[in-house]
Amino acid sequence: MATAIESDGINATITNSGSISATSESLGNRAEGIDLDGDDATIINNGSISATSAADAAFGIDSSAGNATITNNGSISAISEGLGNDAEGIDIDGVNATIFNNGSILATSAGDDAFGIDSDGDNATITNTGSI
Amino acid sequence: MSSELAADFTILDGEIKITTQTLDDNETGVIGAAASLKTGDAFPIAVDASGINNVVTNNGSILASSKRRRVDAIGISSSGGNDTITNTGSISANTDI
Repeated sequence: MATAIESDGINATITNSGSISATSESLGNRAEGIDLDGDDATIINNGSISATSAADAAFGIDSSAGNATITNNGSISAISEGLGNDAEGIDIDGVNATIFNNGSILATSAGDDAFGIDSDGDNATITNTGSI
Repeated sequence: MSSELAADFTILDGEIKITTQTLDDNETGVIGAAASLKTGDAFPIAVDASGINNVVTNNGSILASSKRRRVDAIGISSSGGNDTITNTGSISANTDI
């Protein structure tokens, strides 16, 4: 797996005004810009986040954390070039997530599902004023 | 695998570090705008912030890469809780097996 930022602890604050990228060239290795597992985290993206995988899934932001707040004012892209692999700009599995998109989110998959935002956790709130 | 002993760290402009930078509780790491942290197979995690209340500020370049099977490449690994990560530069991770 290639992960630019992996955050497992609670109450993390991640602010990106530059560029974050993850690239995986092989089967069995996902690409993740930010992998968030700790609850009560805040992510603010004012720059760019990209994840590209040649043979596995790609996630711009992959969050299983509860109570996550994610604000995108920049760009997030996820590109999966492999067969049978998802590309997801933001993937939310935790409860009570709040997502604001004021920027752009792009997901492209060559051989499976592509989700701009994929939210599976309960009580999520998603507000979009940008493009997905 | 060894790495730098945990302590505050600063990578100054013009410097290039090639080993994992490690933070314990309440420690801070700073990468300058013209500084680089580039770690490879022996050190696939560039910054290992395992303590609580770590503050990591990257204004330069972080690159973590792995060409070893089942070895993840991670730019910044934060696990302690209450950590603050600020990036104004570039953070890249890549695997190429």
